[in-house]
Amino acid sequence: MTPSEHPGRDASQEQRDDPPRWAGPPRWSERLLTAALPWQYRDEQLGDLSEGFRRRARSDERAARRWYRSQVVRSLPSAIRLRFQLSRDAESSPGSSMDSILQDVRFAFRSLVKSPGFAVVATTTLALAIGVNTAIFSIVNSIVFADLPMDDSEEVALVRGVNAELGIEQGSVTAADFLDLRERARSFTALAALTEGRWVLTGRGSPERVQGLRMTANTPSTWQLPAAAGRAFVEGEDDPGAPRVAMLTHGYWEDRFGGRADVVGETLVLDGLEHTVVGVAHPRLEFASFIDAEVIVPLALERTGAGRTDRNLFVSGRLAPGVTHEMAGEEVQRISRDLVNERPEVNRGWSLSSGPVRETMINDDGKTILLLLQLTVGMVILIACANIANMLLARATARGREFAVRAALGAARRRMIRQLLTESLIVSILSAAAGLAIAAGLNRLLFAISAGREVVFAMAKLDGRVLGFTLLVSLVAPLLFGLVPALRASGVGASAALRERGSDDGGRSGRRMRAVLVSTQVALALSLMVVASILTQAVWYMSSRPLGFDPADLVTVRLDLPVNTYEEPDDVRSFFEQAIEEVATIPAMHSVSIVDALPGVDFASLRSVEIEGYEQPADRAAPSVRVSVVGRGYFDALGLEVQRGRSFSSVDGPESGPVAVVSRRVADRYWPDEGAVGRRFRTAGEERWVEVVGVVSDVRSSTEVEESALAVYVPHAQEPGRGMYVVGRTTAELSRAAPGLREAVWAVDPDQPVGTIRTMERAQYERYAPNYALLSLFVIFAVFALVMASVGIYGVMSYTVSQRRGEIGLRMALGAEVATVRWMVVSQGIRLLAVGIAVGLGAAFLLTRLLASLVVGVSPTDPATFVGVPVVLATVALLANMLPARRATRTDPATSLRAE
Amino acid sequence: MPRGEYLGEFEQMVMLAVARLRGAAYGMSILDEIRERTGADVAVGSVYAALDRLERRGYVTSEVGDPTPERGGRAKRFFTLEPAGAFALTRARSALDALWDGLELPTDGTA
Repeated sequence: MTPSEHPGRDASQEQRDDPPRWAGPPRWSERLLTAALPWQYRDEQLGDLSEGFRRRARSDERAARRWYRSQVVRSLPSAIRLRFQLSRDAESSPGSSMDSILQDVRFAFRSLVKSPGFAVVATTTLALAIGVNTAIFSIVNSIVFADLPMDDSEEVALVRGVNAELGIEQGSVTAADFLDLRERARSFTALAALTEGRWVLTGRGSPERVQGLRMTANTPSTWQLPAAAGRAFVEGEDDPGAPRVAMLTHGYWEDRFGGRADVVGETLVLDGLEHTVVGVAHPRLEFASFIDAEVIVPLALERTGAGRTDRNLFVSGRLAPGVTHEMAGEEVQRISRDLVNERPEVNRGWSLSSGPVRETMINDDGKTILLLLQLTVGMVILIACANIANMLLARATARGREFAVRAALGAARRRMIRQLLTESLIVSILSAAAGLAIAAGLNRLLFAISAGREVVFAMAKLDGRVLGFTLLVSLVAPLLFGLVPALRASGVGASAALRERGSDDGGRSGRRMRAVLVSTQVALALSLMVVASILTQAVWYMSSRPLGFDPADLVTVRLDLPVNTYEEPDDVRSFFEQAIEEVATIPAMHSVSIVDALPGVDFASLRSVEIEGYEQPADRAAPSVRVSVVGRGYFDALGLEVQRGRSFSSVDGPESGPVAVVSRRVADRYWPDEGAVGRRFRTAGEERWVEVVGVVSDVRSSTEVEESALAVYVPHAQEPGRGMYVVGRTTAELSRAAPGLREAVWAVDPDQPVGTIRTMERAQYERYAPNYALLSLFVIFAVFALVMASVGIYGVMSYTVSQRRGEIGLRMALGAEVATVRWMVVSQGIRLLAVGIAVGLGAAFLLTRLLASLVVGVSPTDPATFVGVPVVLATVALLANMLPARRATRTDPATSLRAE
Repeated sequence: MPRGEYLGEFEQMVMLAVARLRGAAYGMSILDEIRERTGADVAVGSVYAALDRLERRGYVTSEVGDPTPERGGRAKRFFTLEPAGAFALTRARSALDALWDGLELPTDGTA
């Protein structure tokens, strides 16, 4: 008896519905045997059983059913044996399975070449979808599955400073707190701390600025990261009096020292102090924000001075055996409460929290956003598959006769399905290869656009996991888009397909699903295009907005003087005076000066000031201005117009009274009537008054803000800073001016490292580079969505047309106008398009409201955008719609009618 | 092929039924013939599996007949015994006869 049968109920139902004489054999048993039997054996065996059943049913239907079921159950093993026998036959027959696979592949290529349109559209669509997915996955991979720079990382905890009032959850820790925690905490076998470091490296060719990490000597052992060469730091090397040692990061060792093993033992001069290289760090150390580190030195910690107040330590610890993260967290919190009581003036409002390294180091919000992004692009792959499935369905109908003929000539259904799936698989594998190239290109493009400022693009690599992901996608996708069309194509009964057209289009639900799919794609494309368009306009507006000066041929280079060598203000002053003189002697350079913050790139420091004679309304904050330290000739270098009074001159020195030049906007705001020259202000809380000697034209401190900066300039001679940009106009190419610039600086001090030499334009670009990268991503998504929507409409309309070929042929034969028939097809596409655009406009309107706070210079509901984008979309989509319509009317009516 | 040299008991039953039916042998008639003569209720699937093996060895041949309404519009497959099949049957019988000759088993006759 088959498990799915309830003989009693079955029989009574049959008796009620049918006269017993006409009752058929038990339905489920029959189906079961049908499924088990190879198709070649179905007719005769089921026929015999049905004959036997009828004969028995005449006398006793119940007995007949019993007999039938027992026959089926006992015949099942033989049926399955027959199947095995057949597959053995197939293997040993002259066309072996390897041969037939090759044959399938050859045939698939031939049939793809025969319909290049389909091949190109399907491969492009899928390649784009796989490319975007792989690119996003490589980012997700590098962040979510990141290889942390520590072994057995599940027993490593991070200790972070938390200040709820300031909204800081991932703050750093002071040296004093760290030292107290290390003495008191029992939950950890070791606690380590590190912070960033910057040095000037001399004695190896031209002086360099190097960056890296300063870490307690136990950090490598706490993280269980062995040295790649030489040794790691050992206990005691971070004592203040210990001999100076350093390690190199793996990347720096390879780039700068060519991976020489004998670098161990050499001397590095950092900020004028000799350090012995003891080893090279493990490559895994170069993680996230440590990726740029070059040199590592031991970190000596103090409880006093900066060690008491500066929160700059990244603290990690390894849990003692048997201690859980919860237990460690509780102990750290308890100790941190004591620390607040002991040092309330520093620690009020702060506490320490300890948690597992992976959750803490990889920001949860970022992870969520990434996973959402991955989900979105995953949907894109599904939509791409659905699109290709539609195109394949259209093809399946078109090729119905081909398959019917093959079936009639004895081709096995399985073989035909395999043939069709081979075609899909080839499309998919070609797409995956192209997709990998697209992903690699996309990552590189985004990294280049972000000017190296976005660590995620640098960390995203196409490693084994990413390749595996792509391979998996390319193997699963053909099943998604190829199986249903293949089943349908091969399942058309031979006689049925040869006699009449297949009118099976998946019925009403299939049609509705396709319509919803296409409309959704149109809506998605439209909203993405609107967002991308508004963002592009905003970025364009910002980058094309006048700053108040011309950034194009303005060369800038940053010089940071080390404190060790330039202790006195006079040393600093004379260095920069000489540097300006030297640079000005370069033939291609003129109008040379210095400034501490580049307008449009850095924000000048904000100072609260008290203005003489200006009554501050009680309810408003004290006036604050942006103060830039500049050299003489700065206004000439930038091309700012001195509108009142004078510019700085050699009169303004350390001994003379403090002076300042203010911008037009400051003058208008605080001295609107009587003019600013001769007026005085002072920094809040200071005694000395500063006299205003001139007024210059306005500059913007950033292209993002609407208004010009409230800029105040003070002379470098009176406020000598160690970190300044040398700026100057050049008449030559940057690459030609750069070497002379370096030589000029080294003529003053051969040990002074020279920063990146770039034009102001480039500096401004780099400032906004991550935005540009994000914008590019949006634009790429939008273009991609447009392509997908067009392909979607094309696929569905092709399918519809192929379904209605007979009808269209009949209409044409009866004398319908070509235009009328085309309109009949196109109008159907227009309906889908219209629904998509209506929904998309609504979605775009909601989305752009979210953008309102981010964009300047363009209204988030910009009418031109909301009209123009749908027009573009509709045009492209209609073109995609026209192709199948044209094809429909171009077929010879006789041909399509013969298929009837 | 040593395995194919002698016929199994079930194969012999099926072939003998085909031979007795003389051109009217198809699945259901073979089943009936075997049941009427031996009382064995065999499964149609096993019969076809056996016939499939025999046809591969060239002992029987088959051709498709006409569908009948009683069979739900499905066609019959008629089987015919070939000379090679007749030879194999004869040889199997004489081999068994030779082995039985003069032998008496204690349980003889009860099966």
